[in-house]
Amino acid sequence: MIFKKSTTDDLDQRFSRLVSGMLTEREIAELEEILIQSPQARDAYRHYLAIHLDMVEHFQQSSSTPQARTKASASRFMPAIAAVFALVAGLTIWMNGRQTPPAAVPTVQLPESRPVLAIATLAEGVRWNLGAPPAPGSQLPPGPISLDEGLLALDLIGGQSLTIRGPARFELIDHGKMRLDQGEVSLHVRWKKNLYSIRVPQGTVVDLGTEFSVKVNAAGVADVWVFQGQAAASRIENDTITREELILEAGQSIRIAKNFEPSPFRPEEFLRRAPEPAEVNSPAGDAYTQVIVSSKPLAWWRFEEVSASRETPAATPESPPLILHGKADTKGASGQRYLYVDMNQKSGFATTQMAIAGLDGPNGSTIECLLYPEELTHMSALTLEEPSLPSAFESGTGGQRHAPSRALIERMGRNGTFAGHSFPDYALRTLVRTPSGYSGGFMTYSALPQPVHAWIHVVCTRNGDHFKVYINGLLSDQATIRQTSQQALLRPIIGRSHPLTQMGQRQWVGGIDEVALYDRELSAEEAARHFAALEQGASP
Amino acid sequence: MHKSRRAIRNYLFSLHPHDQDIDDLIQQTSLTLWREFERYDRSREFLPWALRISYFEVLRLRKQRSRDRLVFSETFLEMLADEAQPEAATRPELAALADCLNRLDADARELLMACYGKGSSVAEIAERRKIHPHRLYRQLERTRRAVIICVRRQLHLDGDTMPS
Repeated sequence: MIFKKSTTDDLDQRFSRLVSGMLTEREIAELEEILIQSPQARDAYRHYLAIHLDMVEHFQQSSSTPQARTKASASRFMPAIAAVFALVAGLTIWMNGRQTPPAAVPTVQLPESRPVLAIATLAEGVRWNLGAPPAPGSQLPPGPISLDEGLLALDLIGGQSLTIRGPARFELIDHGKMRLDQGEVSLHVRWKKNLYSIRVPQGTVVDLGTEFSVKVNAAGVADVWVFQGQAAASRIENDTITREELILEAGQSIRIAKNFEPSPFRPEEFLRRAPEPAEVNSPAGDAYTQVIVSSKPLAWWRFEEVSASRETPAATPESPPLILHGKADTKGASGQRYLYVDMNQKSGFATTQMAIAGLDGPNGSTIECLLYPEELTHMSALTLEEPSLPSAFESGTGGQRHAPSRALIERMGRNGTFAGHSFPDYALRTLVRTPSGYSGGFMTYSALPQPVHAWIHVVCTRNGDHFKVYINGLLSDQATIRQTSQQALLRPIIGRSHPLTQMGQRQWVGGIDEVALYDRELSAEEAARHFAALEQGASP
Repeated sequence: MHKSRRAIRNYLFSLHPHDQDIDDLIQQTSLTLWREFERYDRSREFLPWALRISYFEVLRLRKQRSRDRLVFSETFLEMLADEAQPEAATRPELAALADCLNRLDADARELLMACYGKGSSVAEIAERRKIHPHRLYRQLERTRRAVIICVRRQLHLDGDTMPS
């Protein structure tokens, strides 16, 4: 075909509306004019109609011939049966082997392990006792903090956001409480998992699903204002005995001193939550684009444009577009846009209509992408599923079923254990199932936590002997597998673990960009070079 | 004639792209071809002769129908008739289509089956699924386009050229 892509798309849309009987008289006249003027358009017209009629006959025959339907179903089962048979013939079905990485491959240097209680999201004019001001995405462990000046915003692992204005002295104690000795703090609950309490010198304030603000002066007197929801204020003696408790509603305030007293402060005198951080952009620049092109991906999506029909084209000409489902959206400045999804206003995912050949060949395969997690829950970034297999292995909620998955990339939550494995909190997990839909599989976990508010460059490679995960250019983990190529047709589900339209099931929250799929294993050198190019593009 | 059936079917539909009329057109054309077979010069190719008869069947149908169901003008029909390319059914195209349909997810296959196999209208399917018909039309359009792009790509990759 010698059309420009957009012309072909436009004609296909017109042809589809024609065979559906949806063209208006004016549109028919327009189409006829196009067809009269262009021999290529007439060729496309005849070809489109021919395939349309072939489809009609295909499905009419399928619905009228039970034997043919049974035979067709059996042939679809054959690859799955053959795969299972090959496994029973002597291959290891389920293992989680790890090997010491070869000395030549640069690997992650593990720091001393420490728990993460909060992630910094904003630091304006911060001067504190922990050295340089925290960059967005920095992890804060438990311990006392002295904020001499500035505004600090933190995402807590329990689903709350904390804003602190200096001068302040406070301590993050554990995932459910902090102590405020002096200064101003605002707490906002993003999603409720656990109660959170702020211990003040003469009492405690516990959130009950709310936004409230607390200020403590040099004499240890605390004032509380509830802006939304409820909070419980307690007065405590000798650090141990609760003497009095009040439930505060929105618009109410209290002073916690030796006794409960009315607070003299007006609401505008209390700290509110920090403004949303400036819009995040994808870090992928021209240098990154060039190295991706040089590695020749089989399919590659950049999320720069989304059509009115919610399609975003592939950057590789032979690949199908991704279709945005639910409320999935794109964000970022022009040239730095990315897919954005969350659990509320932007709940959704992206997928192709058709499966893609070449991701299960003898040369292995690679998934490469940029991820920007924004929440601390267990969530799925990308799944490869095998749609030609019957949906017998997994079922979604509400009775819906979906095709079995072959591979997953997920960011785990807190509690570094899952299905008997031990790994860092917020590790990035890669799972390869063999066969597709099998409840176990081969897994890798990133060596370091990958919590929130930072772009991660991920490269997952696989061949018949092993699969590896590189995070930001360094080998982070690898596992041994024994998997023969099955030439399966696979399609990506981006932003969720399955393509069902209802929410849930490890919805990704945050950004995903530059999803590239290769029909071979990328080398360690390529993974490092791609990340180096990414860093180039991120520089001002 | 059976081998040429696909070519005749495609030609008829290109002249008169109405799903609901195509079966009648094929049947009527077949009857006419059978009836006129004695006049067919067997020293010449069958398909060009059959396509010419098909053309007149379309014209006859158009005379019987009201103008608002005619779609294209006679001028355009004459142009298509002049360009008619006799082609027999091609195995690579059908094989490519079968492969591409196999790559669809279950929801998309079910939609095509409902529209094509069971003969339900889009409005009926939309009501059963409790979604707006326009949304279903968009899904159908996307699915058709995905299949057609897949077939085009397969034929190009396999070396078959597009029908010219």
